[in-house]
Amino acid sequence: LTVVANTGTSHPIGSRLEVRRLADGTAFVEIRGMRPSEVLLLVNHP
Amino acid sequence: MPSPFATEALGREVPVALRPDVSLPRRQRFHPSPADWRDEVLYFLLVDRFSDAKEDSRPLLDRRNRAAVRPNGHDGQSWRWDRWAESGAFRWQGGTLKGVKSKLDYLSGLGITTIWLSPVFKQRGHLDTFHGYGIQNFLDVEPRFGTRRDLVDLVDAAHQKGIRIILDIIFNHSGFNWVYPNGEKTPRFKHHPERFEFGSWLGRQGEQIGATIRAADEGVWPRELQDPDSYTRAGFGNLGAGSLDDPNAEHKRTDFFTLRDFDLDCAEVLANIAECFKYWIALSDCDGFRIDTLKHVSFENGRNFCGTIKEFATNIGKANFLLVGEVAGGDFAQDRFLSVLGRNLDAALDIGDMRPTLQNVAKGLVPADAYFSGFDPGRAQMGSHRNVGQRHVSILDDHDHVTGVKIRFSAEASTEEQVVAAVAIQLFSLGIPCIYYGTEQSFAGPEESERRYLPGYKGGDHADRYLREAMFGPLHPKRSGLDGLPEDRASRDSTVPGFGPFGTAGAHCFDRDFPPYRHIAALAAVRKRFPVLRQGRQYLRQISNFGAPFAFGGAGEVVAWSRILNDEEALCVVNAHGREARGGNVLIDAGLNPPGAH
Repeated sequence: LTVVANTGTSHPIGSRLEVRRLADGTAFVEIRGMRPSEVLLLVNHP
Repeated sequence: MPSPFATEALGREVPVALRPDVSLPRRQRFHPSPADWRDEVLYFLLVDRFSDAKEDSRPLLDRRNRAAVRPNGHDGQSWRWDRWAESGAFRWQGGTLKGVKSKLDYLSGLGITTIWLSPVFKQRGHLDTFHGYGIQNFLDVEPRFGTRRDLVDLVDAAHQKGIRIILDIIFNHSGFNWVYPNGEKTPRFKHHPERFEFGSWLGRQGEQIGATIRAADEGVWPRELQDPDSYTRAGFGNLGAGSLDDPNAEHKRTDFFTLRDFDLDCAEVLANIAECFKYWIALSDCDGFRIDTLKHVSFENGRNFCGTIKEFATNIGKANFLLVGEVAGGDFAQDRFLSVLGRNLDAALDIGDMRPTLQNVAKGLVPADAYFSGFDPGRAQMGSHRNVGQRHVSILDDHDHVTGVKIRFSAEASTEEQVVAAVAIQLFSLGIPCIYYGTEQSFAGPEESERRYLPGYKGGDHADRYLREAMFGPLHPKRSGLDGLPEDRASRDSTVPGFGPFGTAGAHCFDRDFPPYRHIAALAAVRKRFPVLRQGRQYLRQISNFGAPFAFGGAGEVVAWSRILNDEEALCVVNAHGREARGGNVLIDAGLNPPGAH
């Protein structure tokens, strides 16, 4: 997923987060270090 | 360009009667409606409290030095909070339609696409009903706000900048234009079918003038509304009493305090009032109505009024003229009105529990599910309607706070970032988002240490004043009543401070460099770019931390939800904790995001 908006600094706009999976196929992205009240927006088709 | 109808109407005096003075147009060019109101971002402002177009004569507020704009009183006394509070509750501050027009670039820069104006119609001159909900002339603009031409010019200028205008209308009641026998203002309510005799119309200064209206400032206008039988005349009762389904329930027949309830069952009354508001559609070329006190009319009258407005608007080319209702009483009442009125009512304002719940989620006080379950058709009263998105207007703050404490979100927010987080939830969740003026400047009233001096703060009489600061920062308000009507320096009351933002007077707060303004503008721009954020389906997402199973987060944890449209997924993530960093593994749609995708 591509970051298209971020009010903080955890994931810069334009950066991409890899889609990860559990053994059962569950898909997720790992988001870390969001500042208090930070807003982040990601899309799969930027 | 104003329509031929507007050009012709503005060349004549304000109509005194609907018939024969008003001949509504056909086959003229008007501004078309948007295809889908979910594409819009609304901004609600109180005309009296927004701008007077004279901000250049005042400094921008320095938030770090508010004491500099808390001047001594005219008598040399130091700043007095009771005087500032009095100004906010009881005085016109001087905002105008030209003021709103002067701020179109400010609003456009914020990402606003539709402005919802508080009522602009003429009030009683001797009363200080700056909110605009006490109409004396249904065919004229309140002179403190400007003229009919100012309104037409504002809408035209807004349209040229890609901004739509919604007018706030009232068809449940008129202003305090008459009294009951013996001069009684609010006699005890009489149940159906009983009613009081008519007393007397009120004159220019509020004096009783008997049964005959002779001048423009007397009684009510247009002439068709001057029949005493146009009014329910049931006195003042309980605004919440009775069943929604009962057309004669107490909450439907009562006056709204001194504002006089229309008898909409009386022949021609509803049609006459509807005709007045059709006139405003044609004259101003506005794009929708916010309908005040809709709960207080019967379903049948609500459906008929909305239906006739919709048909008129459609017939002049506004096929998707927005009608959004103020339905107090929570989700059940909102749902009932939307269901019964059907396609005649587009949406309801989310002024019930959803508004404080949205606030509490953004502040990390309750789990995200408390808000997002409101969209679930299987779990929530409004879910079947709210779930669709276009049938509710989300509200973080407004001028009333019908539900909850009467202070702005920002007044008890941890940080300015928390304000942005709350607006982000509005912008990226289902619905038509509405931003209340001043939110982008984090209006919060005076500092916490000063609030103990504020009468009625967080409760008590006129507590809603603290939701209504004057963004343009007048040094002084207008004089009370008729003395404040002239538009000159003499109309200002130098003994009272203006009700400026953050407990100040004499400094405005239109700051385009303020971080929340810039952040909200950036988020609104992203919303505009991606249809999925406006019209996609919505799913609250589960989160996993440190290898724990995926689950919905608790209060103050990461809030994550997806919007999905066709094969596109947008993942919205907010750290709802006000003081600590947060993160986690956030679940997304496995089918739309194949392994290894970025």
